[in-house]
Amino acid sequence: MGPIHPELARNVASLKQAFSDCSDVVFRFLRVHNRPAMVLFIDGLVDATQISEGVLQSLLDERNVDALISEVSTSSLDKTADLAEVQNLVLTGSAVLLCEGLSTGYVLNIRGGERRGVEEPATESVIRGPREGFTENLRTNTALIRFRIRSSQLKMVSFLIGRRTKTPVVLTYLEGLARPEIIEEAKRRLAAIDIDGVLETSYLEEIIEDHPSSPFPQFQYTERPDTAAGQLLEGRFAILVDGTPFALIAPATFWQLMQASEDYYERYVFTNFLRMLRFALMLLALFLPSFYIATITFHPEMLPTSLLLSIAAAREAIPFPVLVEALIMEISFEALREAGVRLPKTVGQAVSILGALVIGQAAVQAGIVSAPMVIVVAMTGIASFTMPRFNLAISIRLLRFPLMLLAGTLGLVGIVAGVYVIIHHASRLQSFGVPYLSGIAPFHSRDLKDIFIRAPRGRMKTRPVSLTGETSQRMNSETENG
Amino acid sequence: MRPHALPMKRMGILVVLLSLLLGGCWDRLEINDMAIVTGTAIDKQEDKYMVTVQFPLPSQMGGAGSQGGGGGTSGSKSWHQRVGVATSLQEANAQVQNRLSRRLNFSHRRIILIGEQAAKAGIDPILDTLGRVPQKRLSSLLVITEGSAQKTLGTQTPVEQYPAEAVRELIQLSLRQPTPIKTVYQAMLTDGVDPSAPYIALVPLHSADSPEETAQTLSLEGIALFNSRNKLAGFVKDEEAKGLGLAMDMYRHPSLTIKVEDGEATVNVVITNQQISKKTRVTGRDVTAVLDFRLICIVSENTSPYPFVKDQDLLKKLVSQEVERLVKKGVKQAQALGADPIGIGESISRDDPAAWKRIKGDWERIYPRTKLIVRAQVEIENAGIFAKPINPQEKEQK
Repeated sequence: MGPIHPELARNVASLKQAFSDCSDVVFRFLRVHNRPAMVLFIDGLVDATQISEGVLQSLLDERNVDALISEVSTSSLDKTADLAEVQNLVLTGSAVLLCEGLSTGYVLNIRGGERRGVEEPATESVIRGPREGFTENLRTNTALIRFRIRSSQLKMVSFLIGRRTKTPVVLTYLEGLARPEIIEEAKRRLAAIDIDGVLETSYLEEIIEDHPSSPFPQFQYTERPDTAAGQLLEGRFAILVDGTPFALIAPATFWQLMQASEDYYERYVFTNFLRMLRFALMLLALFLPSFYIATITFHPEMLPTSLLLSIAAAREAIPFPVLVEALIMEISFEALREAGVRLPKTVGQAVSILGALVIGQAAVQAGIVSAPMVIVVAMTGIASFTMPRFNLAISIRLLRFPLMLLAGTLGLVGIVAGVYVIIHHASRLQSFGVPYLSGIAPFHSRDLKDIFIRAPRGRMKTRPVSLTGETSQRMNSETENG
Repeated sequence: MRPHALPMKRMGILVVLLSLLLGGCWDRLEINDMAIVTGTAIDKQEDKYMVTVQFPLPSQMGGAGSQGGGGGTSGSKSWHQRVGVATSLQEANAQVQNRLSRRLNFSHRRIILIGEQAAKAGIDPILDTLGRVPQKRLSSLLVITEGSAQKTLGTQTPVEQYPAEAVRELIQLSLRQPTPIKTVYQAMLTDGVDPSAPYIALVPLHSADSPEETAQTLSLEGIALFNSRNKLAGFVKDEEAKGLGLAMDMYRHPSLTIKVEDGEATVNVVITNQQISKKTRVTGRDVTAVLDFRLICIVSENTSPYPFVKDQDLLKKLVSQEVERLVKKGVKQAQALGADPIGIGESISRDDPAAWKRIKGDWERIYPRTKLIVRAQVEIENAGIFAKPINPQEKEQK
């Protein structure tokens, strides 16, 4: 488009052409110093009060433009000489002032518009802990992190990703804490992205993760600034994307995804109890249906006689094999859950009532499924809800089905084969060069303090070995009591 | 290409190939197609075995969802019995299977009843069959029945869901050492000890609403003894069973009723803990076995005029004498039957292997002449909370 022409009409013409059929782009003509001028902005992206009171009012007072500009109470002011840049700036929410006879455009940085405020995160609520959550506004999000880590070592590297969406993306990490090669790799991967648009972090996640076809998530995502800050302090990096309240955190390990934010806020004894329960329930969510199928169809001798007889009594009228019965129940359970998430809240209640009937008494009375299977599915469902990270819960839910098929065809041998494949796969996974199971495989005894248990804070003196390369001190020894 | 792609593929092939090798493990069987055998009765009629298998009918057991099912000809019984008759046990089982719409599953059978006739003919062939197939568990209890095992297994037992369970519970409740078939194998394979098993019989059931003795119930009567050729030598019951049971440390909490000073008065003690040490002495062809008992008892009833709380010497002496009498009586009967369930022969082979080698061949004749010395050291743990008997004529102990 070329540089800004001193003749305003030409600029207006080319801009009008560029923004043809864009009814939300406002061309506001006025006279400054008796010269024709124009303010260009997009309605809704700029702060409406600042535009009307701060900018337009002052401009109409017919004074020297430069003096006027200094008076305008904008957070920042830039000059530009390029029409294409003017166009880009307008698109990102700035207002631009062009004057007749000046080949400089004044950029009024008055981004605004309706934005959601900082609220409590919906997906990761805690009983004890900060209530602030990320919002859709990138600057708010970076500020929320900066507010927690007041250090110039907290770096925020900007990227503009998306040919059409031009989405601001920020890679943030703590210099000196994060391993430089990991950060370099992250920068390289982000810079290499060439895509039409980025609407959510998952766009980036799928492009830059190491193993996109693996069922296991290799990023943690969080809505909580405190969680993000905590992970930065462990040497990880976070990726913030404008327009989404979720931050991506990597390198992720399996154990990290089993941790809840509240683990670090509650007393460690209680946390340890919860962690162990969570690990037990994770195994239950993964194996219970397949274990039930395998025992009932292949190894009935493993059950106590009386239990086997009551299961036999309950199954007597059921027309399906156990595997089919389990698949029916598990699939209808997943369907109900999906329906419950998708439906508006008002209709959601109807789904839960229907669900209680379908997965509950009615199905049993109709002789389609047996009561023990209902218990198994219910237990599995509850167990999968205890997973602290939703993306890990999804992979557990997904892996359950192949395991059920293996159990239904090969019994316990099949389950063992499935476990072998899963562990084999997980131990080969890497997230930005960090092994997925690191801490256990490769084994670092120092990292055990925050895997299956959470050690008392006085004992958590070092950062994770796999992330920092060498053991580095996180806490001074003298801080510890006693 | 990602670095792990090839090994994953290779491993997938490996898993498939390995599972092909597991063809023998393909034993998928739905519960609905199974008859879960809970007990077997083995009888012998002339030269043929009659095998009765008992399995519960899940549709009659009142599980959820079973209300609409059932409706067979079995009436209200929640279990069912099938009989096969053949010259071999396996053949008889096959006969049952051929006439049954469900696959027999023996992995939950915990009771095997052997009838008197079959036991007399020898348990070798029976135990051979029971030991060969892995599905038949070695922890199944072996019980001998007086008379027909089939009739015993078919007894109505309203307390339990099916009679086999009643038999098992009865045995488990009263015996410290029930006889799983692996114990019987051990006895059969060990030199100098003969197999034995609890025996049950049918006894009249006295119930309030039917005074006439029509109903019968199971009763654990005593011990069935086998001789060295593994054939039933005879049953031991009553006092003899109690004595032999003491020597074999068989019963869970045996109680003794002891008469005091010739009269009507009795003291009842329950043995809560016992230890036996066995020693043997061989001089020439004479064998002496010494059984040393250490007993801990509680007094559960006292109609005698003695308050045993203060002075227990008399009671200790009485218990000791009673134990000696009972054990001698019991072992004497075992000797008369030519069965050595305590394993005196085995004791000799341990204490004096050379002597055992010498007399082993003639053991069947030497065993019945074995002298027995029984000594009992008694501790009274709890004489009761009454310092005095609730009896006005208290006496001082002599």
